[in-house]
Amino acid sequence: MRRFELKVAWRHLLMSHGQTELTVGAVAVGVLLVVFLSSLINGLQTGLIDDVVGSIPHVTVEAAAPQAKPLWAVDKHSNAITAIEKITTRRKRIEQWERIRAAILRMHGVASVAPAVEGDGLVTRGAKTVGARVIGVIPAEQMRVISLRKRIVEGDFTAVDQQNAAIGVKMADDLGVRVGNRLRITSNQGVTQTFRIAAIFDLGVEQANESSAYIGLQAAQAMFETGKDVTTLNVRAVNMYDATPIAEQVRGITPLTVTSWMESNEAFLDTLRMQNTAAGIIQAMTLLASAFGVASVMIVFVVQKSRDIGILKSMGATCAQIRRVFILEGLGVGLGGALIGSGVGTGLCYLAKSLTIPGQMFGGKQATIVPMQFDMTFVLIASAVAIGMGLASSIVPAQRAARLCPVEAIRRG
Amino acid sequence: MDRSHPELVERPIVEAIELAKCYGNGIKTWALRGVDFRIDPGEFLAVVGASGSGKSTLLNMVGALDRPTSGKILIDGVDTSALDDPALAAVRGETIGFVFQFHYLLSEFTVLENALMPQWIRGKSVDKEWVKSLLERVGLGDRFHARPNELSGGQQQRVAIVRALANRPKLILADEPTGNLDSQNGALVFDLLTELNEELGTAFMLVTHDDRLAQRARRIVAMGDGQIVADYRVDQVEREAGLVIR
Repeated sequence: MRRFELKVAWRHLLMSHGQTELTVGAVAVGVLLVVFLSSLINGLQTGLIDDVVGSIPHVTVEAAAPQAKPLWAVDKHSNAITAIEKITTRRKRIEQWERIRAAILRMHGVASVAPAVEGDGLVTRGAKTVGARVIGVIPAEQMRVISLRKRIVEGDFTAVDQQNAAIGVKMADDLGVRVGNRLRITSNQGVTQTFRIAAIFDLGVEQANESSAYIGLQAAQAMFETGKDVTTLNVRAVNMYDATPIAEQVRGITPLTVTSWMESNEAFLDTLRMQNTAAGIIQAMTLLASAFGVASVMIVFVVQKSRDIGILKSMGATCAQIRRVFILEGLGVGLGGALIGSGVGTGLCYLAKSLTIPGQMFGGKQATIVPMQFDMTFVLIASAVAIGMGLASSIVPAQRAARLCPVEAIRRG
Repeated sequence: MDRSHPELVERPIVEAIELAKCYGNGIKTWALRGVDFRIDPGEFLAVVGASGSGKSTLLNMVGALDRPTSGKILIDGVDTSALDDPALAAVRGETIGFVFQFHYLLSEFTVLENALMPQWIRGKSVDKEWVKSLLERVGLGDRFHARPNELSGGQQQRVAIVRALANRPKLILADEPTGNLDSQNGALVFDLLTELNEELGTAFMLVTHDDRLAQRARRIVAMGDGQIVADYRVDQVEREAGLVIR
């Protein structure tokens, strides 16, 4: 780029009597809003997804429960329509689960697979008894499947085994127990065993906190009489949004019931998508409004400067040179707006993130007023869009300037 | 060849052949009706005529600011009708300098920067010393870094003249260069133009209403109704005697 275009564009920007400030401000506000809104939505969604998905496996593989079938479906010649086949109390089991587990582990995008034995039972402490979902796990493996580590309020989850159990905060409250206390667990097979409480967790889900009890895998196999079998395989995907394709693959190798978190949380995902769309529309509209603002100010500027443009042309400036002057100005406005907007936006994000509610905890962390999650990508995208916008909004004014007839421009000014 | 006018031997700076210009789409107004005209190197000519006689149109054609409707114009031997925008702009930038009725200096730039502007536009090497010496020559040696609005009308017009000379053009086109100045400053600017004409050998074509100034030129072209009605040289004696234009 020649020094003439740069010099004129730069001087126009510096000595524009407030027009530069206005246009740069318009772009900066757009960028600021995009950065701030993106961080806010990202923070909100990360928190939400963490709450919803963090405490559940990405894909669950369970033994298919025997389906209850009406008699007419079984025997087409029967006239009976009221009798329904009685379900036997046969428990669901995954036999040869190690083989299935190994096959799933070989699939692309699978991070880990943990076996579990699940069943209903009762948890008793003294005179108090509560119903519970009893889950037998290998702690180290279970922790690779759901993010338990930061959800432990007290104690050590890895200590869970044949004698040690982990229960939810709500259950601990209801029973009035703490880590180190003992309680009795009775399975629906009528087997009772005493456990010491090794850990208390907060999964962020009321139901899980109220009625989940983790015990060792072998203890559960004994209590629910599954032998060496398990009832569930919990899968974690490297990328949680790959859960459904992984579930599809698993369905291809086994007749077991396979569910991905995305399938069981369709409504939640739809809400997130709608939120993203709404935020996207708001951001696009803001940037568009900024672009129109910049373009209109620049068109006025070209009109104001038309005599100067005529004079420059009389001195030998070509249409291309004049066009470049105004495109450079647009670029300058975009750059300035991007710098200021992303600077202020980033600052605001960190400021908002540091605003905590005194004495309030949330998910084991200090609660903040706004759940900001800043990402440099937002700044880069918003800045790139702003610079592109500055350029784009200068095209029409630059074209007008370039087309000015010098004689007319000088005469009319 | 006329031996008494040695400059005629050289190639003319401007040569117009059957030059015509029409304005308007519906109602056509002929501003120039077939003008044959030439400017030779080092000439100092004044174009006079009533408003609407075609003086300014002729100046715009000669300066390649506008294209003729018919006929052709050769600037420094080059037929401008065949040139595209960048080439035409290059002709303007290198061969011609403009001085207008108003100074039209760019308010964002200093005196020196304004005077350097044609060199920046041309984009080749910048000869700052030449421009500085010109500014000193016109008495603005101490105002290099002043803004145009800090100067008087006469000073502003002198900067505009230096700006027109920045690329060492062969021809300066001046459209009523003293029209916006009082008579004293006007006379000073006119004197400066004649002095620069003699010192630098640059040709000057002056469009003016002011007959008293025009008769001090060495050649007078009178226009009327889009045509040249008189074109004659004024000799030294006549100039000094201050004869009124016929």
